[in-house]
Amino acid sequence: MEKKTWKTYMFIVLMLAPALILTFGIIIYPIINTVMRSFRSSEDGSFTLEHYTYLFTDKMSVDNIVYTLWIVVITVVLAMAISYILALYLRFSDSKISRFIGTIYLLPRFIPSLVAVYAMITIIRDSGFLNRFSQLFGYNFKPGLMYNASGIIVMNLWFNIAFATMIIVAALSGIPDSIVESARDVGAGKISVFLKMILPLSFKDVVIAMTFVFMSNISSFTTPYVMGGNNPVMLGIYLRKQFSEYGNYELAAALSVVMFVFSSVSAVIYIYTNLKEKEWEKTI
Amino acid sequence: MKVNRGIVLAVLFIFAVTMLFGCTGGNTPANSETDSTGNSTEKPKVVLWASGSDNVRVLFEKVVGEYNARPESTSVVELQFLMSGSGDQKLSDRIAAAKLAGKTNTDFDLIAENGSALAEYVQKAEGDLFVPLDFSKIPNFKNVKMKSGFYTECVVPYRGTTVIMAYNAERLPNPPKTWDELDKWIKANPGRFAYNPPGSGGAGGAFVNLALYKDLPDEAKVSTDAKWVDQWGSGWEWLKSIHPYMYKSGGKVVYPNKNQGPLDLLINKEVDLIPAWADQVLTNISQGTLPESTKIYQLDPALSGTDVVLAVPSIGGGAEKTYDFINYMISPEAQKLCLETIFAVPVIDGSTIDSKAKDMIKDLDISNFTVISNGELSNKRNEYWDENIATMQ
Repeated sequence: MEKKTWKTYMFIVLMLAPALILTFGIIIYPIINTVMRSFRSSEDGSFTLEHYTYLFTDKMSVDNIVYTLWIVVITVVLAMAISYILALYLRFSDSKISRFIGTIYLLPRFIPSLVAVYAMITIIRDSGFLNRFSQLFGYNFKPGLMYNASGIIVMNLWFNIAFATMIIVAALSGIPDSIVESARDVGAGKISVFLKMILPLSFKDVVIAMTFVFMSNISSFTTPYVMGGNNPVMLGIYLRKQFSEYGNYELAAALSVVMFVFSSVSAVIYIYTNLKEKEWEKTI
Repeated sequence: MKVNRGIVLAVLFIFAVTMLFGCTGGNTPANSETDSTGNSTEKPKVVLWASGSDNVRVLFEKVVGEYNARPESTSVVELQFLMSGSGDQKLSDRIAAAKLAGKTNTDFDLIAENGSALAEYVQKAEGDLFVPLDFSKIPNFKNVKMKSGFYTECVVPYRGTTVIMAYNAERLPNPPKTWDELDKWIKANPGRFAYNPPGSGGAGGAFVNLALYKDLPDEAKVSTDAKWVDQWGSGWEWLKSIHPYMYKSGGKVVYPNKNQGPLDLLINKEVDLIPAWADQVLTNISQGTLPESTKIYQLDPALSGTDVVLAVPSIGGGAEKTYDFINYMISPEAQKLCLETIFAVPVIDGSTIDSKAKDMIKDLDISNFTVISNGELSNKRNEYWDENIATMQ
């Protein structure tokens, strides 16, 4: 018996080893390295907090942090609202249109991001499709979406609505028609069915979708780089500037840690929500 | 029973691991086999590192392909290309990191880089980075007309490139030729001029450089001494004074990112005049993305340009195996490829190249561009620009 257990443990370790070594080599070790570097002075290598102080006191840096969080929060809120409505429609409507949308709504997931960004630019830039279309009717409509936050948010929505809808649709499909029907039978109106049953039953998945959208946008690079303005900039761009344009490696490390912490908050919410699962189901 | 299953799985695991490593190991003999069929002796591998915009990548893929396909080539070149402005670590940083870590046997065999950027490499690597070349082993070198300005004993220039002004002749028949005229034109035509942030590409970098350096003595232009930073004041003031007249989107002045940013604005007729790399503009015209009416000219004093050179870092596999490829790069056939692929200014006498593309570069006088090589001061320039000009309302 003793021997068997030992062998089994060995076996488990052996099977996990490749994944663990990879994780350690390309994720954990660089993280430790970056964290250590962020506390090092760029002059003599001694311990210092100056990089963090700079990031949270320098006006440009604070502007960039606020700008990034603002864009991400707006993206999350709008993406969730639109996705939820879309998912409700897909789940509870059985028309031809809804089935058609159901087939194509995932399309954005399969388009390479840079292609999508440039495609969007040709439409929304001041000399783009919208502008030319308006000129047909004698107007000169300039959307003004390029090189500022609005364009980035529009693009973020394009990327994230498909993803969030996918998760919410899956959650809504898990709610059996029988529950909804029995609620209607005892006299519940549409609104109270939604508020008392559908919303609580899908809330966990909405939170999960939110954390994913939050994490993928806080560190985004391509969209803000190609569509964003010069100041303020999102943290991904700011990080690139510190790293490859100014050569401030220690400050770049500190900025990476800050971005990592922002993402971690969202990761903690995700894990917490997942662990709560059983309790959630108990209350229903 | 359980133990048995464990053993079977463990064997499977080991098998999988050997497969994994076996694959990487198995490639080498296969490679040399194909080489030896073409040639009785095994050719040494030369890893060529280059960076730039996408047109440069296309050029190198062509040239390297042509070179490797020639039976008389004495080495096999492998291209490592770093796209500029893609957030990757810069080549100069990578090489400096390897050298400062004390490595001597890296695969940085040969680099292709702007002559004016070499100072930054040497500065970052703390000296002695490039090995002197034995020019007697590069027979074509005697035909090279363009002389490099930096580290002459260590480099072979293979093309010239410069930033110029590009404009649309239909909308702007008489572009401003001098900086004073440019100043007046920008202020009289608000929103019709754009340049990219200096950190995001060399075209905007050259424009900002000239604004800072055009009135400074020549020695400042090739100095890495930080004392010249104090002399940039009037240049910055001018850049601030034209800020309100730059291209606007959504009511705010913007400087579009990357060399391609202002080019896109010119293509879409949102601006009339931009600084741009000559090769990028000419490539866009030949592909039809810029209309035929797009013209180029040089400002006076001229925007900065550079010779682009091949150099051998001291931490690579030595100069000996690279000579044959260097020699090929400055041969008439490779020069023709450079000219026809990216409209590069040839380094050898133009009359030895037979190509129609020569007409397109006839306005580019390679002798009159300004050379600015200030090493790591360009980081200071980018930082100042981002903090003081990008933030203006």
